[in-house]
Amino acid sequence: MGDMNTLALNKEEKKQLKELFSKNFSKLSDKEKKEVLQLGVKDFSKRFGPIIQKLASE
Amino acid sequence: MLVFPDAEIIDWWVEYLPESENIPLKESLPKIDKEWRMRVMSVISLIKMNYESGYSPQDLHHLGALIFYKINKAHNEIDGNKRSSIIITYLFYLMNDYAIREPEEMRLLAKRVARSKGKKNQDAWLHKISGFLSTRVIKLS
Repeated sequence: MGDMNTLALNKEEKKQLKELFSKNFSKLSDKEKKEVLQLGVKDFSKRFGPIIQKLASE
Repeated sequence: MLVFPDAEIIDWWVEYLPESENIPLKESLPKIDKEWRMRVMSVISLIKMNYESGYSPQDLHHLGALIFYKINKAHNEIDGNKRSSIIITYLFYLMNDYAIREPEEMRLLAKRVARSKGKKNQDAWLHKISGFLSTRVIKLS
């Protein structure tokens, strides 16, 4: 298992994500759920963006 | 208790994906339309139902593998299944407090699964995928 340092997020964003997950996702408000997804997109696009582009071009 | 993406969460997720500030994905995403949503939701709803009724294993990585495999193999003739399987599996893990690493290995895995014939060896694939996922995630909290 890797660590939080491999996330494509800055220090504040990592802290924010950690705090959001002090509750189960299903217990979060819609606003908080959207925050989790937006942070997730930021990490996903940085890490997985190149392979999504690669798969799209194959 | 694990959580599964519902239609609203998937809508938000695919709404945010093209707007990413890091790498623009707008041109690279699979075609996300009503049919795509129905296909993805039918896979997730079935997996969720089996999970909630206790018919499937309750393990995060087994369920992640099921989502990855079933979306990848949903309809062979439709373009974008490999990308969809990665996008939705990442979302499932995210909602359950994990992030997946090793994108290149995941791309290769998605290609190998897509190339496998029909649903032959499904159990072996699920075992392989859940093993892969279990060693390539980080806990977020």
